[in-house]
Amino acid sequence: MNKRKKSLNRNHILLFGFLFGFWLVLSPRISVESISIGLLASFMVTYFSKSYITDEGELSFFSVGNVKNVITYILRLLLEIVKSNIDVAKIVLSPTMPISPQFVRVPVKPQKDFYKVLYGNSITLTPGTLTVDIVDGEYIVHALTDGAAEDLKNSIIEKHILSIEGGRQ
Amino acid sequence: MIKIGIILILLAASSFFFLVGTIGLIRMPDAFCRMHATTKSDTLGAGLALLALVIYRGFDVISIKLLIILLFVWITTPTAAHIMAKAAYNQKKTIEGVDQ
Repeated sequence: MNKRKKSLNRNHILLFGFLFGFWLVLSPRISVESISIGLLASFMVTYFSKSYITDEGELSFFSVGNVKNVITYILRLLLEIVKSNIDVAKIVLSPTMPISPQFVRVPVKPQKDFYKVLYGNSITLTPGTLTVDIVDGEYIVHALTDGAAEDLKNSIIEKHILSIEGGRQ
Repeated sequence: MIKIGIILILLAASSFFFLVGTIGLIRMPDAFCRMHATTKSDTLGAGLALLALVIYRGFDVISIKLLIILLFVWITTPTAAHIMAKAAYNQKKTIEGVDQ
C-alpha cells in the first residue's frame, strides 16, 4: 500500500517521455505552443493514470539491458508472422482445406501481466493459433491444425519472452 | 524505377493476403477458424501496404507516423481477435452446457 502512494517513480518518467515523444512525432511543426500543450497533456495523462502503473518490473521490456533480447524477439515474431500468413494462405486456398480445429491448454509461464498479454498476442500472431482466454493459469488456445497445436508445446517465442522478463532482476 | 517495382510487388502481395483473408472468412466452417483467416492475413496485408507507402515516401516524419500506425494495427488486431474469440467461446459453452 505504501508503494502505491509513491508519487513518482521510473515508470512515470518513462510514460511521460513516451507520450511526449509521440506528441512531437504527431504534431505538424515544432513551436512553443505545440511543445507546451504537449508537456501539459503528457503530464495530465501521466498524473491521472499514475495508480495503474506502479509495478517496476512490468516495464523491463524497455530497459537498456534488454535491447538485444527485445530485438531478437521482434525479428523472430516478424518471421513467425510471415510464416503463419503463408501457412494459412495455403490452407485457405487448397481445395480440400486440411484443418482439424481443436482447443488446447497451454500453461501460463510469464509472471507479470504485461508479459502474459505479450505472449497471448504473440500466440495469436503465430501460425494457426488463436488465444481465447486465460482460465486457472492456463491459456485456452484454439489451434487450426495438429501441427500448430504441437508447436505450442515448446514455443521459441515463449523462450524469448521469458528471457526478456528475466533480463532485469 | 526499381523503387516503383518494389512498391508494386509489395502492394500486389498485400492485396493477395487481403484476398486470402476474405476467401478464408467465407470458406471456413466456424467462428474460430474464420478468425484465423482474417487475423493472420490482415496483419501481413496491412503491414505490406504500409511498408509500400513507407518506401514511397522515403525516410521522413510521415514514414515514422506510418510505422506507428503499423505498430498499433499489430497490437489491436490480436487484442480484438481475443475478445471476439472469448465471446464466441463463452457462447459455445452456454449453448452446449458443458465446461470444456
